[in-house]
Amino acid sequence: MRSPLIVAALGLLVLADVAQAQTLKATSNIIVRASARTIDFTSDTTTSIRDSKIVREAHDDAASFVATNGEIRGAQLEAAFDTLRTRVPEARDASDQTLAEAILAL
Amino acid sequence: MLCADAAQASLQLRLKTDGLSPAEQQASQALLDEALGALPPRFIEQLDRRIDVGWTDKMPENAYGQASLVSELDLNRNLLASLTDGSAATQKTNRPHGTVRREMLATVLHELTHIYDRARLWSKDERALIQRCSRQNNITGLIGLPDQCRGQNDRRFTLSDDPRLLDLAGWPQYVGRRGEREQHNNQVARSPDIYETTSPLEFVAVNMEYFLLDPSYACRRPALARYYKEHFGWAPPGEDACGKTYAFLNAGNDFAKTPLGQIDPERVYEIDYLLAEANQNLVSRWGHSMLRLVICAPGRPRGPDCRLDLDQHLVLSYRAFVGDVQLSSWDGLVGKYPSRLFVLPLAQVIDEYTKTELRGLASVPLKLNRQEINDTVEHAAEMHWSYDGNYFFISNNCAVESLKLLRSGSANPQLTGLDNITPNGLLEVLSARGLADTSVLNDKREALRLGYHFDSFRERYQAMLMCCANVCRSSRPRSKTGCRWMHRNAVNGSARPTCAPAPPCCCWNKPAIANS
Repeated sequence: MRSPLIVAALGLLVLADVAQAQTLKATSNIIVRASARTIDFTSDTTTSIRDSKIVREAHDDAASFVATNGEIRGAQLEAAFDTLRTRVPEARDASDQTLAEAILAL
Repeated sequence: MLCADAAQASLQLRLKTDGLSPAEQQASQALLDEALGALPPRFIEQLDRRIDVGWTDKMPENAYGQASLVSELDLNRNLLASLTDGSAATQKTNRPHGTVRREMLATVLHELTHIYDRARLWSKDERALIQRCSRQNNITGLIGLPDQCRGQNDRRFTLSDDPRLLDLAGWPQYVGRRGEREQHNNQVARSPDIYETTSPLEFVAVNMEYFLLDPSYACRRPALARYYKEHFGWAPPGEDACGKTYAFLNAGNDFAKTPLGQIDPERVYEIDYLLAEANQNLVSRWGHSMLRLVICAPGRPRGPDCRLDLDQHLVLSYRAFVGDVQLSSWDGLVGKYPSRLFVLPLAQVIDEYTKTELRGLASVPLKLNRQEINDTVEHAAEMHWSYDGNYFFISNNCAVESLKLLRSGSANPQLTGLDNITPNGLLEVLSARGLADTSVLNDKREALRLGYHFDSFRERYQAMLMCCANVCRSSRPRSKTGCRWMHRNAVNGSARPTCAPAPPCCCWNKPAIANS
């Protein structure tokens, strides 16, 4: 009787895991299209997990930055900017605001 | 041979041969020769006397040996048989020296060190300093004593009351008692021989054993090994090559990281005094002091750029180890909580203070030279593994512990006479003595951007809520346009946040209410 339920639960679990894996992948792959002021996440550019860690830790700072039009500019965000600009060529020409929004969207 | 040596002034060990068979004499003499061969030249030259060595049965069964005050050394006769027939060289003990014979050799060196220590064999400069400081002390008393003289007046031992040795050994200065030393040594974890912590006299002798006999001593206790080497102007032959990094136990909450981290002192650009600003809780009213290691990312040369390698930075924090859900003020006052040196990733410390506890962090670079930075990191690694102290909220809190770590580690003379029991007070004193550069905090925006200040999220939240309140109170149509909350409350310090109606909305909307 209950086996369909179990199967469904297991299925959901698998899906959830896949989704999780997808997010992890996305955070380590960043591309910025500066000209269009849009940000895409593709698997073209890969940065190491450590770098994405410095970017992930800048999430809260990025939120403050975006919300205040750049008034609050914390060190963690500054570090993330540096990392992105060194590692991702497309990010070099992007504005701070664009980058902050990209980090926030991660 | 011994007679030939006697012509030059130097130490001689003379075996008391009464009642010893030729084989026993030979084995004993070999032991003494080996001991003499292991000693530093300065030791032998300075300790210019003849010491009589004999075997006695007037000794507790498990003892190895004992030195009289001046010139006599007794060894336990129980051990003579095994020394003579050679079995002592293979018989294992449970101690780090390994075999019984090795233990006997260590005993001879240990007891000779006691005699050396008592002989007041200071160098010329040291003797002059001690005399000057003692004279000064007689005239002005402790209060008028210059920092340089602290702990140098009325010294009685060659090594074991040297302030620098006491700092390294684990008898640091009591806070606020003009150089008086703490009674108990808390560097007890991972001691090769816990007997060393009974008194500085024993500490000097026990460590001399390992300095001379253990090739890895310089890797285990680098600062002390350096101290002995400097004192004797000599290094024992055959020392192990040590690793360039120091291991530490990663106390971060990121469990994907390896539990054992490594610090390479060559990659440490600066050491910051990291102060968590105070709040109204009893235990955090004066802030919390920590040290931040500004570590460069691998491959980046040391320089100001390293300040933004935030994922590499580590924080050294003495914390009361509270194994309970409730913090007892009484236990804190009487020192019931253990105090340990934790090594944490910076990002976690920022999160804990600015987001969870809503306290800001000030990170002020200390003006230390390269050698002082290396030595402080090295000492921190030693303390991390060996220190198990007691946390007293007042007399041995984080500020006192951090100061002791800095003082023992860097040996900066400016720190010798520095006393403070509050974390924020310590920053002021460091700054007043020119050891900390608080000017980095002057420009708030830059301080925030470059990581000299991590602001509390209290202000950010506050600004956001004020903004929302304003929007809700205002007569503007409460549509989907909210506000860009904020404005400079946190940054420029203006009294009220101002809001500008602009998408995207950052305040929450409640359409139900808005439409009603």
